[in-house]
Amino acid sequence: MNRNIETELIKRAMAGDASAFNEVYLLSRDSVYSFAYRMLSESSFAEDITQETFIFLIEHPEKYLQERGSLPAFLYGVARNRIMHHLRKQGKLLETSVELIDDYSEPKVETARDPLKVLLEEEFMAKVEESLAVLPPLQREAIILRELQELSYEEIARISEENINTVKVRVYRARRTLADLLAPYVNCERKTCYAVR
Amino acid sequence: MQCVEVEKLVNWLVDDELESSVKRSVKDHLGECHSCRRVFESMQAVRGTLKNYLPPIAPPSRLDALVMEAFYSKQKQPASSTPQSWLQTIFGRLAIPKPAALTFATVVFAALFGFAFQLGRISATDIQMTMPADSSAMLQTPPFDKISPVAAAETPAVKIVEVPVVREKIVTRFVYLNKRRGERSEVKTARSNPPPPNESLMNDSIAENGYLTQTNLKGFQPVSNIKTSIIKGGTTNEK
Repeated sequence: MNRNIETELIKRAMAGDASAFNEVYLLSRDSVYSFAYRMLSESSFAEDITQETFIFLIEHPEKYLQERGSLPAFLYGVARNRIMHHLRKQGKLLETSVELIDDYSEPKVETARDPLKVLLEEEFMAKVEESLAVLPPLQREAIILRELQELSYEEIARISEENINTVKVRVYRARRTLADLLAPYVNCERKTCYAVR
Repeated sequence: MQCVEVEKLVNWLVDDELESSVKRSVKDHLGECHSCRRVFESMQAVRGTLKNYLPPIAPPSRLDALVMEAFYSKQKQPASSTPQSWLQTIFGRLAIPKPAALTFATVVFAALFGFAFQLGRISATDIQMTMPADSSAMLQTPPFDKISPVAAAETPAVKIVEVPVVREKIVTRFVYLNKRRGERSEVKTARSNPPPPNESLMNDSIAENGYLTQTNLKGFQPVSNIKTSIIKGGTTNEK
């Protein structure tokens, strides 16, 4: 959405225009919920996070500054803070060291089974979700925002309050880990790669 | 280009963020190195896999109602002047820097506090604690049932247990007596259908097994007569 149109919608929404707010909400709702769900793998928590994110926007519209980034990026930032707080409460380690990453070089899949025979599309989707959930939270966040939400590295750096090189390294590590985990299910021949079904 | 260098650049190639000369060198290497090409292609495959197999998820429909409800609630709130807002209004208009304003406010507050203290407005000796003239009434307790043993020297200690009684109905009162040695306790049950009210209930006494038992139902209005009886309860160790 055009940034000016976005700002105009928010102004009208905060002035009490319910239809404008509803439009803003519907444009960002699925993205924020998907982000929260992929990070937490729990629909109830994802729902709470999404609700809190939009309530924050309702309560503090002045916190969104157009010059700092798009509205989705702002909402991801709000959601991200709540997600990380939730993960810390659960005692989840947010980032692992390089040594632990090296452990991921060995794909943790059953090599005895023939992947060609095993996977239906739903099973492969489950495998992809499972692999994503295995990633350390900060890498998971980076890869979700980069690949699924299609944000730029600059926006991701602003959301996660890190420098851009750190974000790129996280994305790189996440891709390598996912590539290792999904290797038995993805066949790359020559210049094409496709999921093995 | 060596594999070690290409391994670091392949991620940027996936994002197409390499400058043209470096990009050409990396691609040349990938054309010759099967291992590096596999890494590059697998990372590219990850992008496609995530996009194709992890579609956006729609939240439950109740979320929409909750968020819109919060929006409408916010609209109903009156525009209140928070402390921050009037502070901002005052100091914003005066164009006073925040650190200076804070310092000024601290100095003024300290001066006022010191002035008040000097005047003796704050004095611990002015604080007195008073007690009610007659606090004995607070110590009165409701009457308990009393047990007067016929022979105080021979009778053992007894335990009186008061059971809360609802005034609208009569509940059997249990009086536990310590059993004399060698005596058999008799088990008796209370009557299930109590007789009509009787003044004698106000001060009833039973002499049984050598014990005189008094029951005091003063303050209660029994709706029917009951007969207090001694029933067996507990062990011989009870006192």
